Amino acid sequence: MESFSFWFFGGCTLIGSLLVALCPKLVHSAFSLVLALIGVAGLYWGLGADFLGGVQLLVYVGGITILFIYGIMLTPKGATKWSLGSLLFPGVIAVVPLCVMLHLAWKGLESVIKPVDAGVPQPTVDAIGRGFLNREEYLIPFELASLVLLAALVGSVYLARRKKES
Amino acid sequence: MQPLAGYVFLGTAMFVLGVFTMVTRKNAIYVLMGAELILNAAALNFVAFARYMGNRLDGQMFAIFIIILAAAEAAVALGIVLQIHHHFPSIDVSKPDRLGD
Amino acid sequence: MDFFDDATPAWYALAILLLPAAGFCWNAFTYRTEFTRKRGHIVPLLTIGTALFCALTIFKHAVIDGDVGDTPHAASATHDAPAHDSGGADAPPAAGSLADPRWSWSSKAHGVVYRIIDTGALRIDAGITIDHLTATMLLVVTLVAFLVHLYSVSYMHGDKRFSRFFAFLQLFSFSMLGLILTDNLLLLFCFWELVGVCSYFLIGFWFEQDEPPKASMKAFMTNRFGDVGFLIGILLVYRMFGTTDLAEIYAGLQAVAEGRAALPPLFGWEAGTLLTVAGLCLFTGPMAKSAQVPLHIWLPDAMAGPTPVSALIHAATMVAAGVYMVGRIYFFFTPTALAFIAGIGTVTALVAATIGLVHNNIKKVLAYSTCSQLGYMMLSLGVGGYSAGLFHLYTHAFFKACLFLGAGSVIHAVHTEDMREMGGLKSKLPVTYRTMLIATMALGGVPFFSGAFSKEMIVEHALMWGWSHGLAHMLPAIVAIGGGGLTFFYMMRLIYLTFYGAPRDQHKFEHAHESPPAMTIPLMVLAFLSFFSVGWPMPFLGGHKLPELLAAPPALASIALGHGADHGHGGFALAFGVLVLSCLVIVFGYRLYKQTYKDRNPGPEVWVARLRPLHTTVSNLYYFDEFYRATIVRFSYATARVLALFDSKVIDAIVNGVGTVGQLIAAGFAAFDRIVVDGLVNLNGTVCHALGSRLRRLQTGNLQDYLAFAVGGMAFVTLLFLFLA
Repeated sequence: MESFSFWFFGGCTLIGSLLVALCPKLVHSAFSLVLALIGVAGLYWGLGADFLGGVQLLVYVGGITILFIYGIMLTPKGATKWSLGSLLFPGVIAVVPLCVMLHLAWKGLESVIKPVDAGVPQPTVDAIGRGFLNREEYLIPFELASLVLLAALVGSVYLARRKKES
Repeated sequence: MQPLAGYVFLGTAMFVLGVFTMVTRKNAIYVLMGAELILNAAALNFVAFARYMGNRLDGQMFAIFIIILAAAEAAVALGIVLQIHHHFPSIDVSKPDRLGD
Repeated sequence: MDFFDDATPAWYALAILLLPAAGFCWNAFTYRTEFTRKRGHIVPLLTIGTALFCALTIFKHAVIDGDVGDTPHAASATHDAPAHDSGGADAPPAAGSLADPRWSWSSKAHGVVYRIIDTGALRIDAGITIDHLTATMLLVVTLVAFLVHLYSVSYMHGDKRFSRFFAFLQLFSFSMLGLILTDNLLLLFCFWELVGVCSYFLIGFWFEQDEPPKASMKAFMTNRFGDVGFLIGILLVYRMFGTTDLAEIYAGLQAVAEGRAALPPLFGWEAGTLLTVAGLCLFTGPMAKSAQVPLHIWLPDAMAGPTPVSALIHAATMVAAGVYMVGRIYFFFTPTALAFIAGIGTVTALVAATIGLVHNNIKKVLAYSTCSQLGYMMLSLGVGGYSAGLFHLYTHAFFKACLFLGAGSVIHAVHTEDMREMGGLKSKLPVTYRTMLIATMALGGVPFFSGAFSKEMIVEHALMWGWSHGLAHMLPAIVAIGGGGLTFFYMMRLIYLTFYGAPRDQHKFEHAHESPPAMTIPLMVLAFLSFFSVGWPMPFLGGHKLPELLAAPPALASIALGHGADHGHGGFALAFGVLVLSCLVIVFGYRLYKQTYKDRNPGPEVWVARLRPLHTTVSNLYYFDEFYRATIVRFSYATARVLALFDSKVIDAIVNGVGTVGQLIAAGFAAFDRIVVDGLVNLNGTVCHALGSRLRRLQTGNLQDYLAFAVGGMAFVTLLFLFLA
């Protein structure tokens, strides 16, 4: 079951990401991104992070993507035309890390990190909630995150406001 | 249990594709999407490693914070994109190549 | 238990020394601030007041309590001798030993030493020595300095360089106290020059005016003559004893006197000549500093400075430093040198007193009086009256400071220094008048006033010296006795011209008013001290003990030359005789004054007419200035002209030649510079420019390029790690 979910959602993620990177049209890419993000949410569930998967769906798929589509509607239409010259250097710098990571993932990872199997994961919502409100764990980052969000809110409103023409 | 290497590979692929998107596309929205891919790759790695080191919660916590920051980033970045669009007629990121005064 | 058992006095002494220095620094470094400009007197007053307190402590323990006065130990032995354990345990000096019987405390015995120079050949250790002489001088200097500081607050009020004046006063106090405390001849010389330069600054304090700069230059140049001799003397002493430490010099001379050592031969002179020459060289310093004929000419001109300065520097302390210095190295003088000192003192006492009779400037009369009194002190030291001379220095400091400050008060009131424009001020300036009268009595030697005690001791010694050396040597005694009459006459003349009679300048008289308390309080304190400190009714401040405590050291030089020490006390009969004689002379002086000025029978004009040639000579100050102008100054100018000629013809030619050669060499170097050095520099620039113009293409300003570079760099580093691992 876990294997199936990994292959399925992993496939969604990979294909979604590839389409984001390669689709000539912006709208297509945006919907591919939705696919990739849903895939990540599925992976989270597969990893036992049920709460996180929900958050991923709500915030990313439901919020950020809508934001993108809203942004897309504001911009002129146009399609990317690929050419060999424009792809060469990015391709090289993308392939090199990929190869290195693959090499590491298949050869070296098991020797560096000894996986500890702690059995089937339990639901995490309760633990995360307590962790956020525990002074000795994540209370302060939690509060700071709310401040960051507030600042981002105010900042984006300020930025998006139509300036008075001088 | 599914080996850790699979998740690491997926994360790497997302990261690389994100960088590729950011580097090759001229449209600012694409650049932001690339950034989202990169962030998701990092979060996926966090969660996977946490799972494979004894069902720890820390990784998930960090992933949650990453999502929070990504939301904030997306909001601010889209504001900036709007400003660029307003200032230049387009949202081509190769246009604003010098510092303003 | 005992104040002088450990190093405590050194800290007191250092506080006395360094507090005024700190005050000077404070005023000098904060002179821009509002506080220092307007209230520049506060810090100096505090420092000098604290120094006064410390000096009082030392004086109390050393003189009044006589803490260790009864346990003398050799000053020469302080280096290796441990501090004495308890009073009475010390054995008295062995009979026939020439160790200094006087009590003295040296900081070197207690580990407080400051090594200043150590070149191997020359070593200078600055230590502090305290004996009765030092303790007394400390008290006198700090006390007079404090009172003068206080007085200046009012006197200098409103002067645009108010804070600078106090800074100089502080610097002077520091130098003078250092001069007193040091135990090294070379350091004494350094402080000696410091007080000289302070005197220069303060005489020329009002440098916008015409006279003060000239007077300060004159004072400085005249002192140079003396200081050259002083320095030569120090070098001679160093050649003889290999040290400039006073205690070591004493020990060296003691060894010679006891026949344990011999002086090294120098210029082929025998020991007597050598000691005499060195002593006389050393004496030229005090001769200039203490304004002895023929180097006295600067002191009257120095009155161009502010009056508090005249009181502090040119009456009470700095000019007395010469006398103090002679006292410090008293053991070093041979009978010949002492006779010379006595002769100089005699001439000075007489010459200055006679000029004082005819001068009309109130401050200059006082200056000549100071000169004359310093002559008295030198005379006294010369005839063997060591304690009498230093005692006179002590009493003179108070009453002369009082007189000068009084004169300052008068000048403050009538804005003139010419006594012909004063008169009748008695009613206007009652406090000034009374205090000055008391000081005049003290200076004149009226019995029961402080001056009388010291003066009679001087006369006594002069008489005994003359008696034992033959008739020709009676001259100092005669001058000492007769001078008393002259002194009293010219001082009463000053008082008369200033305070009695009808006002000769009605306008100035009407505008005169008594000075504020800041000026009158110092006057009253000084008048009190000139009467009571060593006066008859009460033994105040230990003054009654001073003559005994200031006992002379063994005359080592005389003993070394085979002369016996001719100390002796004339006994009660002589003392009484001198007292009667002095009284007679004073009465004669008073009669003369009364007849001339009060009764005008005949008046002073008649005397002037009768003694026309003498009066002209004296009025022209014995033509000293003219003589110097015709000889030394002229010679200096002539020499300067010859040297200038030499300069312009020979030296300039050499310099020009050197310049031409230099130009040629420089041309060679310039060529090298142009071709080689500039070439290298240009090459450097070209390479940089070429590199830069290629590399700048990377700076596209495009965000995506930068991101690509960053990720490319990351990939490169990852690869590197991979292969290295």
